[in-house]
Amino acid sequence: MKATILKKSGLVLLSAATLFAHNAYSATDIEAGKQLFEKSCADCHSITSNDNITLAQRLKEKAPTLYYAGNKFNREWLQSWLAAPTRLRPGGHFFMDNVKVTEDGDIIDESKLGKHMAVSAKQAQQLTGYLMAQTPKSALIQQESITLGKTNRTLGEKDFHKFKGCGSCHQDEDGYGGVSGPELYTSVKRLQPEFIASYTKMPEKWDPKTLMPNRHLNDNSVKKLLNYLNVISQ
Amino acid sequence: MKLLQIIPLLCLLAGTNQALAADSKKGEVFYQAYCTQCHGVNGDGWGVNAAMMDVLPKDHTETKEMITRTDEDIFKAIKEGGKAVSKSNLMPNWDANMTDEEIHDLVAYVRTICCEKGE
Repeated sequence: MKATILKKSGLVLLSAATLFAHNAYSATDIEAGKQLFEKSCADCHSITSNDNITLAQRLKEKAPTLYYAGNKFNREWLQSWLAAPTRLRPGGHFFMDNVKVTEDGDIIDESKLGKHMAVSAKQAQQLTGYLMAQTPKSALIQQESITLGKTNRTLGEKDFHKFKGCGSCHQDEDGYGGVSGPELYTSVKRLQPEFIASYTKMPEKWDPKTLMPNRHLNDNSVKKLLNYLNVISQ
Repeated sequence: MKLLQIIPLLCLLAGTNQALAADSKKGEVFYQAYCTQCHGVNGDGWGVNAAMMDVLPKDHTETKEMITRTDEDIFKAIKEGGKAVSKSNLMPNWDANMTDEEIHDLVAYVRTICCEKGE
């Protein structure tokens, strides 16, 4: 009898350990990821608190902060993106660095847009382990409770462009929408839904010098938006 | 005696006015960060996002039109968004991104683009 109980508990522990290992990274990997980050990423990405940054400093940043990467990204997406990166911001990190003034209006000078470095699959795993351990804003994430659902695509599109004005800066399909912000038709694949909700409601709590306005949306409004982002990310 | 009391008061008021004076140089950085994406690097309304927008952003270089707007109107449009001044909802409220003082600096910069040309 005792042996059976012990055997059963052992199985439970083993299953839990297997489950944990699936989503976890070894301490060795995380340390290797840290070293790799400092060597290859820290020139462009900050990983320290941005609470006291000035706007002038913010505009000189070469790439988004990774200070709260573990609160922001979906780990599976991050790991695969690091091995095969694609451009997510049509205008670059700060559009002004890449603007060309023409007679037909300002345009993004594509020749100024650099390519993000790619790393090996193993290095992507190590970097992801390190980045996903950066979670200084978990309290903001815990305030959100999100269940992604469906919405009518046409109504969602109208809401996105006309009522909320997101389309002025963000694309909701490839090539359609503003170019100064990151594309949003891949947002649900890339980002944790709680992060999207929290950042949309209070962008300045994440990045005090964010270039995103706080449009004072209520929970229901944010839910509608997230459902639209979910639909267009499929 | 009364005159002696008034002189320091006038000095204090002058100092306060100076402190409250908006700084268009500081405002320029805010314009670059928040406005040029739609209103354009030169403020002509043709920013990088303008081509895809349903309502064209305001041309801040159009002196004739802009001179009819008071500083308070421009301040309100920036702080509370276009809807607050019966204009497009696509102009967002920037109240969480700038303090009132910083918005005053931005208004001062907008004035340099629209209404101080050739001065």
